[in-house]
Amino acid sequence: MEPQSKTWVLTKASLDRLLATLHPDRDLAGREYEKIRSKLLKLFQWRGCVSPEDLTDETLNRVAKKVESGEVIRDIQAYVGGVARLVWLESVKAERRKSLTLDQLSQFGTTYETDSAKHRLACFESCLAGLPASSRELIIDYHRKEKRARIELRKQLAKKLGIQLNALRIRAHRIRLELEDCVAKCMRKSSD
Amino acid sequence: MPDFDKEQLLKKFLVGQLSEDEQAAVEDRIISDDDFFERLLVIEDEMIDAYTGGELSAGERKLFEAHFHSAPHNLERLEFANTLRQFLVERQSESNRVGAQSWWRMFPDFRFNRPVAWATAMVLVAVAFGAIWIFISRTRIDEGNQRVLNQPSPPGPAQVVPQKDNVTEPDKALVTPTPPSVPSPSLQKNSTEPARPVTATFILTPGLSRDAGSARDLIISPATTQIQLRLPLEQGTSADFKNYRVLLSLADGEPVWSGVAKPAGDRTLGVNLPARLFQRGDYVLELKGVAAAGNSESVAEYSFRILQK
Repeated sequence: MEPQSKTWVLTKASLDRLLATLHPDRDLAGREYEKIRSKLLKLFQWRGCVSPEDLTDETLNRVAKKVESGEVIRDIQAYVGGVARLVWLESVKAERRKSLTLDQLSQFGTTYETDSAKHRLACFESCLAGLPASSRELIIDYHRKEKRARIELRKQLAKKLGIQLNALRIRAHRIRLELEDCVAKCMRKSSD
Repeated sequence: MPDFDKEQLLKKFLVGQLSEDEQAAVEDRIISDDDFFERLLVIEDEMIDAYTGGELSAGERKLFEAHFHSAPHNLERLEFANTLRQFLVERQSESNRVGAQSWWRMFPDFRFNRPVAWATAMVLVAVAFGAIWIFISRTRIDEGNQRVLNQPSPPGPAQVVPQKDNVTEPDKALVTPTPPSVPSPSLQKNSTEPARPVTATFILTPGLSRDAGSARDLIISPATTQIQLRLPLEQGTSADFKNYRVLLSLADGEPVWSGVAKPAGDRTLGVNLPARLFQRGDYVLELKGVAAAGNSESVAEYSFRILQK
């Protein structure tokens, strides 16, 4: 899509004003900004957008532009959500969603290159080895069994750790996120 | 206002099945509620796992593919899920393989703990030196005893009974006995010592037919402790699998053992099994190739009969 804010450039001053709107403490504002950014990225991914990063940047630029213009935004999060929807609608109009066809999807398994898969597994094992032992055990145990046995196993695991099942799910998700990130970096490093 | 506590609603959101209003409400909640966002991420992980594990219904699968695959980034997530699955499958196979030897489980996973690995290696080296020293000492004592007794040692029993049919005909199982390594029978006290490992190697040929004249009979002597099965692949069979698994069952289908087959020569795979697994009877061994994506397919089947002596 053509960025509406293409004549407008995000400056340090405009970013500072946006951050100040998010939180009076600059460090916390920075964290809040990153949090919103990662949420927008997921929103656009969940919407099936081809370039979620571009749409995320476009959304944040528009919000920053609005803040810089001096307009008072009462609920910044609701405003960000609204802008994101607008940006998405524009992107849909601008370009037809590039969905992969089912034929292409079915090739996913077969085009999976052995070398790449081997390398990914090596990265995975290396990243797994880099985790603290408790995290490593948890992520392995959490995913160990097939559907039926898995539910019971997770209940036992939660009991063993003295936490609720939902807390266990979130803990496992965070470790998995860390692993995914590590594997992605490892794969990129080797392809450079 | 949609009920955000309903997991079904969140699953529908993830596959793009909500109305625009509901979708907008969920998105607003995502931006404003960190816990809610994380909950969605958890459900997304679980849906990806269910997809890669083949646990989704046909309808769910179709929706998932249509929506989830539309973003290239998601393919990376699917690949990660496949890798995680592959890792767990291999780990499970490995643990099945050593399952019979439960003592092995007492050891930590050395890949993840180098200091322990080094310490263990040092201890093993020390134990090996000790064992060699004891062996040499005992051999000298035995030789001394033999001289004193001045008795000729009777010939040791054969370890594996050679099979006429199998040895001579290439389309049948071959028996390759390993070099005999029998404890010296010269002194009575030696009979109480644990037997040294004796391996019998059999080369199986693919195929399930068991004609009366071509029965693939494998004869195992009581002294055999380990069976090595070599599994040549038929011409034309793809050897492009990431790894191979073996499923050993009785002829009636009752599973006996499963594990990983390892390369054992040109287009040949091999598995080592404890001899105690086998009783007299008919067996079927299925060789499965595991593709990089984790899916497996049957590559060959071998049938044979154990005649235990």
